[in-house]
Amino acid sequence: MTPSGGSWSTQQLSEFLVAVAGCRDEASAVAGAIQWAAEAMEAEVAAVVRDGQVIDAVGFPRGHVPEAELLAAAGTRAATLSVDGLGELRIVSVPIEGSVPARLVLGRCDPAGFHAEEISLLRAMARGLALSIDNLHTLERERRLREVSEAQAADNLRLLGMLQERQALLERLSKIQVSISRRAPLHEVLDAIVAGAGELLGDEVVGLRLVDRDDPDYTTMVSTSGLSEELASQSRRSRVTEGAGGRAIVEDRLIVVQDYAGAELAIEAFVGADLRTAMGAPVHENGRPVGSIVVASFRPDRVYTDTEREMLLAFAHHASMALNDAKAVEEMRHLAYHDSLTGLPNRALFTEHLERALARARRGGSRVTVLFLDLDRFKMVNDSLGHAAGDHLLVAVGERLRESLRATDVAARLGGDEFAVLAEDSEVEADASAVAQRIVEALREPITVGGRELSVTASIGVAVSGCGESDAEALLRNADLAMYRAKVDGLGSYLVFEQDMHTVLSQRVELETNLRRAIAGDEFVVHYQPIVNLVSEEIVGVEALVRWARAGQVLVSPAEFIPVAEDMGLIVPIGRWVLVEAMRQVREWQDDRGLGNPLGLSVNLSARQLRQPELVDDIIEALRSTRFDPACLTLEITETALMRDTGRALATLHDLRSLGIRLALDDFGTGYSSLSYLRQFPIDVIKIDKSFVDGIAQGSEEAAVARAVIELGRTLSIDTVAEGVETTHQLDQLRLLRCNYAQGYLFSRPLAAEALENLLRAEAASPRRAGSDGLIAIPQPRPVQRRPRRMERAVRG
Amino acid sequence: MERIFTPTELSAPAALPGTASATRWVGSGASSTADSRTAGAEAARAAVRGDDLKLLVVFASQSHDLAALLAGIREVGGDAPLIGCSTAGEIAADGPGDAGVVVTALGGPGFSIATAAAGNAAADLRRAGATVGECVERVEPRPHRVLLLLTDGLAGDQQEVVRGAYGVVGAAVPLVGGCAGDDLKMTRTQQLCGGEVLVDSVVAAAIASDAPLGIGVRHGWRRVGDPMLVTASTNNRVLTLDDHPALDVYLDRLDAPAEARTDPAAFTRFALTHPLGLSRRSGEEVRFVAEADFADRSIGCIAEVPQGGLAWMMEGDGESVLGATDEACLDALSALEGRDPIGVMAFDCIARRGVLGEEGIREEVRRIGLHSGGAPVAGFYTYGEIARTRGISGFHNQTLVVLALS
Repeated sequence: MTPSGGSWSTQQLSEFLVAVAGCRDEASAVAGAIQWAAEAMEAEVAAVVRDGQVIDAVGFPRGHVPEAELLAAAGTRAATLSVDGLGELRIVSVPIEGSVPARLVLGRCDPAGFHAEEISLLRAMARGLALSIDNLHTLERERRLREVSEAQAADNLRLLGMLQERQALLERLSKIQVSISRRAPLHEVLDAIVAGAGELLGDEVVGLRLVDRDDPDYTTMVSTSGLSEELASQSRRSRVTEGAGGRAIVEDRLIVVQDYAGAELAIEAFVGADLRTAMGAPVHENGRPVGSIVVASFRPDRVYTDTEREMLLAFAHHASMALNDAKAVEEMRHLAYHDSLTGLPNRALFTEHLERALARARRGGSRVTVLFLDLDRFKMVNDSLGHAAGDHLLVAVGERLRESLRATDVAARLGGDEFAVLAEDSEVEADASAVAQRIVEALREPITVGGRELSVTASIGVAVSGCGESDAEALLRNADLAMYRAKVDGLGSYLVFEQDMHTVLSQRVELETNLRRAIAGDEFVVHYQPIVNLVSEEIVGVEALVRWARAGQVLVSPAEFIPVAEDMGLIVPIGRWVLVEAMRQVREWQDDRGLGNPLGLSVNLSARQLRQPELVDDIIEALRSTRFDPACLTLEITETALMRDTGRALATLHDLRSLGIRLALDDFGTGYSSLSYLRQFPIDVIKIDKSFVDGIAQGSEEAAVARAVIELGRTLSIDTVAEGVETTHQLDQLRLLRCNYAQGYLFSRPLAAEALENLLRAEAASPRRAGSDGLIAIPQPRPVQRRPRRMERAVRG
Repeated sequence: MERIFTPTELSAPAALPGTASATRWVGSGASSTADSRTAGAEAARAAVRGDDLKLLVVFASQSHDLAALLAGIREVGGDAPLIGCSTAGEIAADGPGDAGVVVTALGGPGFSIATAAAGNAAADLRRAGATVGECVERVEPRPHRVLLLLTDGLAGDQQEVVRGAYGVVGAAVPLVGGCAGDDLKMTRTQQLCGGEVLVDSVVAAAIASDAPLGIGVRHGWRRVGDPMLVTASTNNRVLTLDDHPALDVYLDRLDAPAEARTDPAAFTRFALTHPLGLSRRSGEEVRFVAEADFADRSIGCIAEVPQGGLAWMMEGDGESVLGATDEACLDALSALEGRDPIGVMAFDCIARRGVLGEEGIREEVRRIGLHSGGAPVAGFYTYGEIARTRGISGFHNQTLVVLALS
């Protein structure tokens, strides 16, 4: 079913956003989101999954959500899910890119699956949901902070009633609160608390201690007043069990010592200084005692009243608030500047570091090196093992990076599978290369994910400051560009940026732009290369080959634009167009040819096309619209295309075969050439690569391979087509080996439709001796034992 | 005067191949006798024509004393599970009627039934839907199941009831049913469960069967004019369309008669045949405009009209609406996997009655009867219809929903 009208998705999105934005908490936002998304898509089931768990789902009987199956489906492209009583559901899953990444999963009974516009709408919905959830988290954090300060305000009110004569306390506390809320530096806030406690309680000595983070058996005095320099220095560090402050921490309660010298816990230095009384109250961080505030007096008659005890607790409470707030700020800063998955700095923090490093380098005349890393084939890990495995891998790579760097270097995750490293003080390019080499080494050891050992490589681009670019963005961009080039040169390598890379990039960008324009502007044409029966010499079929007739220019070489079109995904619309156009044209020729064996058509199918869920439907539609006999159609697939997602490729090929379409394995011999492919996949034709045909005349190794392939074909009842035949000698050899069919310049180069039509007419006028413009007459065949007919069916039907 | 609508023993017990014991039967009966207890007993007696009675479904006019009517039915049916509701008109095999009662009976070991009711529905419609949905867990496992829901259409957004039930039963169990009526008084509807007469409730029956159950749903309305943007709405109330007061846009675009602009009753009569359409993936969803607030210039619908969406004025005529009747019946029957129906239930929007007129609804019921091929037919005119077979949404307006049992 197709959504009615272009405004459909905008409207659905608008309804969705209004509904989700109105939710008061995350759970209801998630529940609302899956409900709305399912309603908009007319899907039967919907769910949100996160951290290997199903957060919420709809469409399953209550208490019977198939968690494992849903999680598996969420991590797989074009997945299906079997539901009792409903059958097979098509599943689509899109990322919810919030601070905690999750996925929105939908399932529908409709076998057509989800339309591209629907998936794009779903992505937009997921983004809307992510934003809402992040907003709700922020609101929640603010609400909690507000609750804390409201609770504090309530305490203050209680104190006010008790201590009306001590209005100053509240004023002091209010000032402290203001400085906390204005995010004054922590030491300033703690100093203000110490000063306030001293002033209001009237004791001569006040101190605030915190437990050492590195050595929790000791405390350090972080703020004092009223202590001589000598005494302050003597008591700066003390054991956590010592003194009124120490005990307040250990016992987590208010400690009052009226006879200090006689107390077991007394600190010697203070006894020596004739301290008489002391009172300590614990200070907390996230509910745990982490320090204490202490007041002490040299006056022997000093007695702490209940009110004064309350006051010290109030100051201690404010110190706790200040610590908690500082920690929350630190955490928020960390969250804002760090990648939640790997804990590494994110792009924003990395850029800040880089800018500061560049400023230092400019002042000191040194250089800064930036490395841009992109994991090779990471998408394959995600697609085949699921997103959870992908996440584990990223975490492991982050750790390896950290371990391989110097303490002064900064590693960051920029997003997806991209990392960056900043190294300062590199004098020469060799230093930069050494860092890159270390990283390559660090990644060499396999990484274990979910019990599997994965070999990971990264392509690394290196850029050094002072090569024309001095701002952070430009340096990072140069490193990115060098990485891109490194990837093109070969996975797992690194490359240092050079200026001419910009030129190559701009050429590529121009090519991409022109390619998009070409699709819109009908600049593609199909050329046809005849396939000849080596016994009858007849043209039994043609291979359709796409050519780009760029406006006002010569044809662009397919070698130049096909890889770019593959990368950009444009190969799918181009491939679809070629299929329909070639079928239409060949059908016309078939009609002209009249009775007799109809002309066959071979069309190449790219790996990307093979992965398209709509492929089979597209081909059915093309066959229908051109009234093309499927038995006359051969689809050519390379081994590499089969290697990716073998299970799915197999299913697709069986679907195509069930339509009556023949399947050819292209460029056979150049890849793995595994026999298992021939056994496993429903292949009707093997195309022998030109490189073997080239060597066939010399009796070389290539000739042996060609012979073996042809033999293999005969054994497995698979037809063989030799590609790139250029000489009569090659032709003779192929005949001797009993290869069934051939194509190549010896017969004809690929021709425009009109030229091919002339050729076919010429052949019809002079059967068995074709020859005209572009076609070389075939030498007389030698006597053969058997006249193979199988391939005729394969190519012609 | 007694009026028996249907031939009561309407089909021979159907048997599953190879399991002669697994039989099912469906019967229906109706009465227009004025005395409620007598009418109930007459209709039930006509409906119950087999052994092993499993479920009674009652559709009755509020002109009856429903408590007395139930007592009459239970004289015949005993303690057999029973659900039902008040109507805006009843449907039986030989035609539509008012001020009457129609009883459908299901029986035989081939059926397994569980019923449930949830009160205080308006306070939390989703909870009410979920509560009654639980009865699916109590029904014996059979290959074909459906949850029949009868709700209070005046209690708020009925899509919430569907969502609640769906959340419990999941996608594998279709939902079907309708909103109770009150003869267009639009004040209070009633639901029936066991021997009790309820208000503000949802009642349901989980029907599990050895043989297929088919559901058809069609409306027959089409878009007219340009779309309007719902610029402000809260749940069922539409406040503005294209940034203008919704009521004014509605009245002006439809060139409404003068009395509909001032008189609430006249507005409801007019709105009955002028629903709104909301754009959905596979077409449009129809929204019945129930009332207008002449003070704040808003309009109220029977289900949610989301803010930010597009809406159309919809129109229909006798032909398109009757065409939908045929299609709904054919859809329901085609799901029976080639079996003949042994009973048919229809949930028909009161608004369609407005478009078709008295002659038209007689024709509609005649067509339903023809499609059912002599199997018993029962149903009622509703304030909203429920049918969820595909997707997740299942509340409809101005629609005919047909449930065929085989």
